[in-house]
Amino acid sequence: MEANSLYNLTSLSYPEILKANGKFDQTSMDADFKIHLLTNLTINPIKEILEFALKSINLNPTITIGNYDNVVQDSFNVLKHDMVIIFYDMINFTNDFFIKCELMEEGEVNETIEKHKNEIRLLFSNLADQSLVLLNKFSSYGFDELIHTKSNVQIVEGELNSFIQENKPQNFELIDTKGLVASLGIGNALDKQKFNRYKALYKIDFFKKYVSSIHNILLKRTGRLKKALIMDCDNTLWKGVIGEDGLEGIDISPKSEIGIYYNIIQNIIVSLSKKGVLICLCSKNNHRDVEGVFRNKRDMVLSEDNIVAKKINWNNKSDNLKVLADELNIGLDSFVFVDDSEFEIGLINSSLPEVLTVLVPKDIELYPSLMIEIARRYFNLQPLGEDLKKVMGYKDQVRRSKLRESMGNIDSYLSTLETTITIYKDNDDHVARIAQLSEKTNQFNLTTYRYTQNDILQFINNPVMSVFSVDVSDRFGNSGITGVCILKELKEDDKTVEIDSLLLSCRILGRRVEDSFLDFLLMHSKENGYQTITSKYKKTKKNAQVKDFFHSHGFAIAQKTDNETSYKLKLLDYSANSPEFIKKNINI
Amino acid sequence: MDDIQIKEAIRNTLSVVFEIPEEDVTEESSTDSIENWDSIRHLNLIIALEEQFGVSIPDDDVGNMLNFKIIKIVISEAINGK
Repeated sequence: MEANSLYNLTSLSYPEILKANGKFDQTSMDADFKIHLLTNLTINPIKEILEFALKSINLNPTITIGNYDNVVQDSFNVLKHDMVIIFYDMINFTNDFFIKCELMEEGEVNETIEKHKNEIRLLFSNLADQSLVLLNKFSSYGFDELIHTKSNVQIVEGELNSFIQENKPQNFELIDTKGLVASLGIGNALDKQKFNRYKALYKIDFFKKYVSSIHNILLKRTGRLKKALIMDCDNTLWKGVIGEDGLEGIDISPKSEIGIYYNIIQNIIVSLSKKGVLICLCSKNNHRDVEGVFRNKRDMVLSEDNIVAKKINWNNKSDNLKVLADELNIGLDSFVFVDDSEFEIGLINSSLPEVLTVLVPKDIELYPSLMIEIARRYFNLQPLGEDLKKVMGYKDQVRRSKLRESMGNIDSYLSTLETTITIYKDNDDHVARIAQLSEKTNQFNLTTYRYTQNDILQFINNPVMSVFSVDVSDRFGNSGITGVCILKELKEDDKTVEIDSLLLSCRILGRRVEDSFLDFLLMHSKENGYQTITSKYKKTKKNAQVKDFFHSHGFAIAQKTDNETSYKLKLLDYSANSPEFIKKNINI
Repeated sequence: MDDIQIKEAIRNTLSVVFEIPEEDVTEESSTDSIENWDSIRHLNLIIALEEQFGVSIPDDDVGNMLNFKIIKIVISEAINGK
């Protein structure tokens, strides 16, 4: 099975999914991923579908389902999992709730609401330590309600949904199950007969839809979201070939039958750009022709400001993509490449299989919905302010690498940047950004532990742990919070502190910020009375560049296996050693 | 779909649902001979058969489909009645 195959999840039948599950190569999986399901319905087939989804993104799944109809009871002793999913459906609140709901008096309705609010409060507190919990919003679909505006079931649904919306802890995410059911049609999603017999309310198509819809959450949680969208131009951004049809001949008019689809596509791309996705062009064309379209073509929605980098030339596209990855300093596996040519798509698939490719559909009407699906699955659509800064930051990065080309000695170049780093300790305002970095950073990440906002908050409040965040600015701009370190005092030895996590966003690498940040951490630990600092390098597919980081900074190797090296440094022997051209602001 | 094709598809479905090699599924297979065949997987089997054959299996039959031969009879009826 190929990666990215989840793309087709809804077109596979359940037996096909079962068959595919047996064919994945277990040994090539990157990491384990544990999910526990709590449910008051029979939802067993979701297990194999989740397994398929995880395997198709190279995660080795362990999926367990709690006791039937023991949602709250089970929540008291759920061990720590990577994800907990809750199906707590109104229709099976009690055995006959769905039958007698409409006959209840107002007092009974209120009692039901209060009782379930209390149960949900228990869920919230029992699962507060989990990294991430998915909870389905309450839904009245499936009830045999008589049509009237204020039915009891609608009142219960509305009250409970506002309750969870307002009170959910931040490690809970709400899933719009009603929307999923609606997109399939109630008859295709729900099975009343199987509900009556086996409490199996949901049909298999619903589970496929549900798992597809959380694909983005899975990618985000495991640091696998895509970062850049690389667009071809002719017949991809507009209808027609600029080199042949000329400025008048190409079409993106919202008033034309075909042009409107390209107009919609450009709107989608602009909104992705605003969400922090890096938009690039890669087209075989004359530079000036494409520039002319951007400057002079009426109805263009996309503007040059939305484009972070472009390769408009006659080189082969796989070389161009490699250069783009270098310039942006992100991995090719963060790329989504869109082209209308089967040749180009085939070339990229065979030469750069880590790039997700998208062929513009022959039936152009399908193009917008395909792009929206890609966007929903693969990009982070709920950016923090930091992501917006990032688009600007990447533009700076491209400018910086151009300046670098023109200067010989790296340190003399770096000293012209006037870099300043500002270091914060246990700063509550940075929790969201720190979690985001922990979930997304792959390359400069020594241990690649993935932490959620909830984890980070716990660390901040833990007296033997410290969470440092670092902000980097230079004369080209401010990168925002781009580095994190988590220190933890050893349980057995309060004179030793361990570097639990150390990571830097790739957009600030190669500027010796890492040297300066590490120097601060060592001096700070020394000043706080620690005698020894220990650390680890845990090997992943992507962090080879930091393999020797600790060793080259004076740490001695304490223990070494194939996948992990642990280090030790005596702080008494350490004296400040930091590049003098980086200014440090300590803000702790 | 002829009888042989139907039997082949049923064997295939039983093999993927119960995670046993296809050659271990015979016309004599039943809940007694297949260890994994419990009530939860039985429901998975019904869902898999419904999707495999594009049919809806009547609820009254679900509880009876506890061996290969009965499954074959129910599926053939469902296909013909489609």
